[in-house]
Amino acid sequence: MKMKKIALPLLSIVLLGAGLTSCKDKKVETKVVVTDSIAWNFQSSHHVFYSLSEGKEITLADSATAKWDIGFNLATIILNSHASGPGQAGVIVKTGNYESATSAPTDGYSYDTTALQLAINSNPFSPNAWYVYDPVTHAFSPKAGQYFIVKTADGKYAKLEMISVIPVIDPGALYPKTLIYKFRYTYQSNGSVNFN
Amino acid sequence: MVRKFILFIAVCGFYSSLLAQDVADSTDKILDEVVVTGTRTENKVRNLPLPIQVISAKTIEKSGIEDLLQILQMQTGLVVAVNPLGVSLQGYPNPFGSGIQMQGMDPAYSLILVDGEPLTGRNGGILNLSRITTANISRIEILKGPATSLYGSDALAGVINIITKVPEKNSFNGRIQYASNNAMGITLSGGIIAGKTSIQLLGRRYQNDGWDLDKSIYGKTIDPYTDYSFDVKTITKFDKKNSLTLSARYYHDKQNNNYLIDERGKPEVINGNTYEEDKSLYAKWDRKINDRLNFVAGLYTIGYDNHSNAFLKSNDSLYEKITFNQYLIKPEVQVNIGPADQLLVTGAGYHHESVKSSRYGRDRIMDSWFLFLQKQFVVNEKLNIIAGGRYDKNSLYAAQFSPKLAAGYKVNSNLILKGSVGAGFKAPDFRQQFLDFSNSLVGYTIIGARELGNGLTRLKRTGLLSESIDITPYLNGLELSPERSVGYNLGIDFTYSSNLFFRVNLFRNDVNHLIETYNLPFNQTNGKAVFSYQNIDRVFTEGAEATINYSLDKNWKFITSYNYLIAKDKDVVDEIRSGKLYRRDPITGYSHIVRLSDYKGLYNRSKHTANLNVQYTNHEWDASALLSVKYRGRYGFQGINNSTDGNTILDDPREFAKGYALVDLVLCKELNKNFSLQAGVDNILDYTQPALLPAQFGRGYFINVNFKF
Repeated sequence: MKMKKIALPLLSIVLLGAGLTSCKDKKVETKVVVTDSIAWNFQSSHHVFYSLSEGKEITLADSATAKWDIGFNLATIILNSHASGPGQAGVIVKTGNYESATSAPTDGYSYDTTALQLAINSNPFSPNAWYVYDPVTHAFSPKAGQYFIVKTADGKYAKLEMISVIPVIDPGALYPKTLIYKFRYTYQSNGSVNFN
Repeated sequence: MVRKFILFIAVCGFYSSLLAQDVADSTDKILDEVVVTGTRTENKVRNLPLPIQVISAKTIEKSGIEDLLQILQMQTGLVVAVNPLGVSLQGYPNPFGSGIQMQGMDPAYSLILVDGEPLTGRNGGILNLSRITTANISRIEILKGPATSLYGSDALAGVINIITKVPEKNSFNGRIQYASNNAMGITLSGGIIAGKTSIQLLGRRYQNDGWDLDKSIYGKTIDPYTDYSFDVKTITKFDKKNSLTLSARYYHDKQNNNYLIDERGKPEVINGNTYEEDKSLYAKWDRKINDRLNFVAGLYTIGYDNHSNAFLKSNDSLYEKITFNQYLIKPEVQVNIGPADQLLVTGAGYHHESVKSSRYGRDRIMDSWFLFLQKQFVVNEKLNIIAGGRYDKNSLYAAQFSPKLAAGYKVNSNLILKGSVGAGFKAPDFRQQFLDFSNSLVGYTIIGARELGNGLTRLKRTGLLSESIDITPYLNGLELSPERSVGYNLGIDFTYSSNLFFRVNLFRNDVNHLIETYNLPFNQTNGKAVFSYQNIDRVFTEGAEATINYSLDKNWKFITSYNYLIAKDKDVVDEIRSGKLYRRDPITGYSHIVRLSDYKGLYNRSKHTANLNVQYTNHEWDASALLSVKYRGRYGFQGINNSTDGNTILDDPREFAKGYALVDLVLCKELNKNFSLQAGVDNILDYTQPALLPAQFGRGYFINVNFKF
């Protein structure tokens, strides 16, 4: 199965403070604010993988490494640790305003304990799922007011909000060809829990 | 469109006031109509402090329409609504169909009666009303507001009571209809008077080739079907004090299914048939002891069967077989004591209901008995009061007491004020109690509350549930309470003149303990959820409806009505107030707090609906024309226009389906005293909406040949 990263008009890796901090000399900006998307082939039997630190898709060949942090497959989201990979990735599912999340807790993270007991609830119709399922259109859209505090595969911290899941459907087809997951996140590369 | 017509009426009204008022008696007809639904005894509409409207056989005949749903939707405040759950995961044809929304409440909350007795076979809360042959209807009584105090479960929004014809003379009637989609209907009916016994007979065959509203999707939107109906009713008047009514109804429908499914990622064509059958028997003995005492003893039984066989076209193998069988038997006694204006009505009965379905495992049984009491007080010429209540004791849930109080006040000969308040309940249905279903395709399981013990044990046995999960709290099943409501109605009937009549009714319904699905706090070993039902939700509906009946002269008659509705989920309102609800911005996709002003209420409700009915009769030519318009304002529908905004409430302008108007025109010509012709156009504006209203065909034509001897 060929995986191709498509439709990335919104890819915008912005290194904040490049201009602002220059006068405060020497402070190196370690925070990365990203809006990105990743495509999953609808016929695919495995996930697509993404690295928050690198801001890009990680190939299937590296799926058994700690290079990726988060993976997508239909409605499931996996994190690189425990049952899903060799990394340390975990998640705290939060309800509230994404912007006002200024720091990550140091504990309380959930992990993919088994392949079927994932940290992020992906059951259709479940009120605790990360998405809202629409029985009419079969669309699932990320639940508003929900975001993730993510511990990455290498133990750094990030906050991430799923923005949309958009199916790409050929005219007349029964199924979408691909699903495009769009998300935004703030990644703190210096290992601190601070997102400000 | 609608606005134009209303203006037209206003203009007509102006001119008419200049004309002599020597005509039509329409307003007297409305108020002197005798109805039975309001009190279970005969009463004139004028004397009932309840919002009740009547559709006469004549109106039905004149409309030329044979579909009951289509007749009902032309009435004030009644809206045809599709159950949103009607589109199944696999894209099956809509299995639930359309029902009638009354006072903003879903079809499941209106009780449908035939001669005062309930129909069974609700599917997703919806009854297929095609089961009733319109040619056999004497009148339809529509009572709004809770009527649980007389009829028990389901009568929260109101009651639609279909009164069938009583044989009056030797007669032979018939209609042959041909219509679009190769629809062909033949109805024959007759009355026979044989001494003390009179017999009413009816037979009907109807076929329709179905229709396709979306050519890009394989198969038809509505598959071809053929119906048969046979009705027999006999009334024997042994003497002045004793009479016996026997009635039997039979309905059979066969639909030829042909559609596409996805079978593990591969499209497959399904062929098959769906059968629906409705059989009912009714015996009633009416005994009059004296002028002040009579009793009615009845025994009613109805069996409903719905089954479908679906075969994979590729190899002719059985893909799925679904069966659903519901049976009800109900003996009942009613005693009426006292003079007509101070009547005490009391009664008791027993209700035995069973369901057998491929999705409920073994036979499921529900037994209940009930007792009701109602007293009419005519205090004086102006004031009359009705007070009553009903006690229902059911084998599956706590006993329910449902009181009702209504009062009418005749201010003067033109103005009547009516007010009522009543409690209603809806019993948890068989599905909510007993369903035990694992979806093989998606993998989740849904179990009725009472069935939780057995269902979860099954999941453990089959390894779908881990041994470590503690299911002891569920082992005896959980109890559901009935959904309960309190309804208030306040209205006026105002007779301006013998040809102009106004009616206004304000309503409010508070519904508590609505039953919804929820997640059990653990997952299956396949990671998928287990769902059950619980009483969680609270909603309200409120609004106003207004009707004007106006007869310009012998030839022209107008009926126009308007319905205003607000319906909201109280828990959603609370959540918004406490700042817990978010929505996604349609452009950026970022989450924002939902404000109270963003929330537009429950899905599938129109704030504005209106009706217009114009009748023109030319007595010289023995001809008439009837124009009907139903306008339904915009209504919310989750997920429409790709309006996925990350929550499940109506708070995004894109979530609205556009309003629409259905316009019908019928012309009628009497050829002689035996024959008449009708020709009509349904849905002149050719409005269709395949996803939300699959049962609404576009512009259609029909011709009826009617005869009576």
